[in-house]
Amino acid sequence: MGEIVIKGLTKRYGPVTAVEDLDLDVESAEFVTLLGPSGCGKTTTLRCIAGLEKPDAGEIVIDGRTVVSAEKGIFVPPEKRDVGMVFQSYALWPHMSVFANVAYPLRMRRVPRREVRPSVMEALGTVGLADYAGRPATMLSGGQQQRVALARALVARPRVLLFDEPLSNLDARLRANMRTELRSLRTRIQATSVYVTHDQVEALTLSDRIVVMSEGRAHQTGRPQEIYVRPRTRFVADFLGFDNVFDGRVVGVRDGWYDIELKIGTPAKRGDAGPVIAAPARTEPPLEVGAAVWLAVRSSGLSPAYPDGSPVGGKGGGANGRRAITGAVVARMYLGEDVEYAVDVDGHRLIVRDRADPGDPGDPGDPQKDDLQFAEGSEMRIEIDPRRTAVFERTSQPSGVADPDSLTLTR
Amino acid sequence: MTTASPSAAPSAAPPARSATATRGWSGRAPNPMVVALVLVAAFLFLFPVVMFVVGAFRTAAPGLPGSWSVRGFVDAYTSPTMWPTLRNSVVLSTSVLIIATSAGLFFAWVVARTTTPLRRLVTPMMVLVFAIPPLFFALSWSMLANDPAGMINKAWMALGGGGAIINVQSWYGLIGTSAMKATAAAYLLLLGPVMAIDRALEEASLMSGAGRLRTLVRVSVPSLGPALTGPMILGFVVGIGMLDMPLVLGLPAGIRVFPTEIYNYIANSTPAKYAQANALGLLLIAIVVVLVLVQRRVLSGRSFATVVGKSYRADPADIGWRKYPCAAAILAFGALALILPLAQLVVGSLQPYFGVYGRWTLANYQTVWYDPASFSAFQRTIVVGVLSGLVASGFAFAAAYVARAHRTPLARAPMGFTWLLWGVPGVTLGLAMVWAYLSVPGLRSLYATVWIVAIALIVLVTPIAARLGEGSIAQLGAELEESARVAGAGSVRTFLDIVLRLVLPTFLLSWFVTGVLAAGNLDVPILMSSPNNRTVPLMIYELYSNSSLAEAAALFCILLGVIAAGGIIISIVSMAIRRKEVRTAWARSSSRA
Repeated sequence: MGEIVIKGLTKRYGPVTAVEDLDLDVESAEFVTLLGPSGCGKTTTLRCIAGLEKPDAGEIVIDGRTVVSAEKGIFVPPEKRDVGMVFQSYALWPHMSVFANVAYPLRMRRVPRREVRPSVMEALGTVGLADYAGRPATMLSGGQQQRVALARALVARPRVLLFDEPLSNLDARLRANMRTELRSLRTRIQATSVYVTHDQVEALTLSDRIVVMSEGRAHQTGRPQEIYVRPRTRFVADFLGFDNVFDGRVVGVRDGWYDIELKIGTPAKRGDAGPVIAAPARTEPPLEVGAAVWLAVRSSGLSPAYPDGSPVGGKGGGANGRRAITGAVVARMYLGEDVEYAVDVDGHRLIVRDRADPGDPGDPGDPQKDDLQFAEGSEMRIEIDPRRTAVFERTSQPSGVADPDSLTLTR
Repeated sequence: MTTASPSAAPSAAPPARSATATRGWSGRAPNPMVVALVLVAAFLFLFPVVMFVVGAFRTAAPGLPGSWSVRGFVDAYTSPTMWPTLRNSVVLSTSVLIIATSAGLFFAWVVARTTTPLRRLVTPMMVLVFAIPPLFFALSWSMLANDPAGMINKAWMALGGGGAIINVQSWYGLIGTSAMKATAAAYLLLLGPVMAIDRALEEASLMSGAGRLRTLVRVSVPSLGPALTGPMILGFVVGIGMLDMPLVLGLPAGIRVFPTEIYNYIANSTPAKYAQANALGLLLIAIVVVLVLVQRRVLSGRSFATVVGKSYRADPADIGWRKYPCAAAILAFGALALILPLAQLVVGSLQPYFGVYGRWTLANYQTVWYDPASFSAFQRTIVVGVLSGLVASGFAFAAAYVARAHRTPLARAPMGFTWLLWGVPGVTLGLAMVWAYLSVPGLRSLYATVWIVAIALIVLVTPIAARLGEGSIAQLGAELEESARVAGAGSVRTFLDIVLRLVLPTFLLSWFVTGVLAAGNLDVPILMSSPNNRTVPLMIYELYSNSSLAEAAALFCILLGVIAAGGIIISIVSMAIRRKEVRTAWARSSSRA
């Protein structure tokens, strides 16, 4: 029960197409996240499911019942769709108490009065706010308000729960707590859920499946690990933190791997244009030798080494199976657990992330001494972990990708 | 857990589906409520203006057969009084603009940014000055400075001064009292922007080595830029359009301005020269419309540098000894605008004859009370005030809501019409209403009734209610309604449960303010007067014209009393609503424990 089928959903605002020909099936009790940058159409899609927007084309079926179909002229208004929704701004009614806010969906469904109270208290208990029922809704902190909003969405046991960036108004620490709670909550309540966010951590931790969207289209749909490890388009890779992108060319295809020659760095053999890196061959369709490609690597997939080839503390491991390029450190940033370096290789800026060396805990330390391994200006040899790479056929216009030059150390 | 389990929902679904299916894709066709609202708005706001323009080219009075002609324009604009009138109007408006904007800015700055004593009194004071009819200031100041009977001159002579010290029936009196009234409006418009000035702008200037005063002049005031155009234009519009102050304070000194000329063409010419009056009125409307358009262009072209998302609530600065002159300025304004005029009215109303000190009597009140004419004038005024305020606010809030909910040009049209009439002078509006309603056979019967006065006042005050409604509706996040829809409430239910309840306090405020403005207005009814539709301000003006000042004062005191009573009722209702909300919230949660 509660499955959602979206077919050919299209929504335009004047000349702007917010969602274009989107197809999506959400299974019963499945938790699906729409992930993408602002303006990618994820919220519009959610609002079409809720009935707060009328699509220009396409149809949505919830639980076997067509709730909207532009072609058939069907539109079921939001109040008749039996969905629960958590809004970004909480949207608690300031003139009502916490209790009255949560009881509202039950009152609208004409639930007998004596059943309202236990249901409301149960919902408030679920979010840990049973003691706050009598408070005015405005006298709560942001995190508490969002819990009340959650209780309000849950209380009538709707078939479908919709979340519109529910955590984005909370500060970082509260967001992490609420994420954990949502995670445990979703195993307890078996409602079909559609969750909209631009935060990849939320998407990865909460979802059964993730739909990565850009410019009104779904770029990739898959399990969190699939999306994270095997992005299918350059956009998805870019959005999920593949922060280094190399231009290259396929020079060899063998047994599930491509050999890719990079345009930058020093060639391993005389006569080659650049270093050759192995990368998993997952492109569809498969690429031929000679194809122009992008090779995307996470900053954590680049390991720093000393110019002589000896490995550096943090990640350990040698140069096994890795091919190296060399550059100069132009900036570095200490992030606590990690160190991030900006490295200039032939005029290209690469971002390299390494575990920070904690040093000797017993050593009182020399305040003048710098524990970070590479000083600015020093030479660094960078090794590429082939397992953390992704290959895409190069097109002239990478859709939805930010200007690569704008990638900086501060992400 | 509940009966609203998923299994119950599908059974409820089919009728809903069929109901909506028959309505089909109605989102594309104009909503009937929107169309109705647009028609009402066009009738109320557009139609009179069109008829007013038409009237300027007619040779006969409204509703009478005549022919097309430009005689009205030729006569009015070639009249020997035209140029002095234009000059006087410009002098008056410009002075009011400069004084009101600077004084409003000064008081807003004192309240928002300093620890001056008495600063908390300023806003209530300004609201009072804004709401009290202009006739109050005209009448009471003409009494205060009366030679020799006014309180000020009496006091001066008691101190040994020879002769009258001041005379308000002069340029100074006219500009001063008009500016006082306009200062209140300017202050209320500027307080928000001044409070919202980004402190960082000023702090950056201080860090760069500029002193406080230099920062104020070089950074704070310029950063208000666009926000300043509002009160400036309002000051000019008030100055150029108001009738009552020049009528009472200007004409005796021979100062003629456009509104008094228009009034003369109608009231003191036989037969009334409608075309000439319309021709002059058109110029006023044109000036006002151009100014409003200019302001909207300015505002849309430039972003408010001062309006930022976050509120900066740094502590107001202690400005040292300077706060005492500032406090004195607050006291002085309070004395000049409220205390002295009120005292004079009360004192004057208790005198057997204006200027006779030492023998107090309630005779004036008795006269008013037992006079059937004034009694029914009060009844009419209350009805007109309550009704105009209610209808204007209801219309304005509905228009603001519809404009936001539908977002189509058609749905925005009613709000646009209210902008069209923003600041159109009352005297021209009164004239326009006469033209509009006398030209249509069915509506002609409304003429000389109190209803045409009420409709005209609705038209006059709706733009003010619209500004309040706009702000109040804009503050209402769309998600508050959407969450109610998703929770299962239909659109009507959502409007009643959420929208109406949340805007109710502002709505009541708007009802009261516009009601008071309507009830205290003289400019509009003065051109529609007949024995059967006189309101209290008109009676007061007539008593004033007949030199029955004591009686006029008594009438005014009663009017102020009625307004105060209305204010108290509105406050009690607002408080009751707020308390009821809290109480029911508690009852809902605890009674079933």
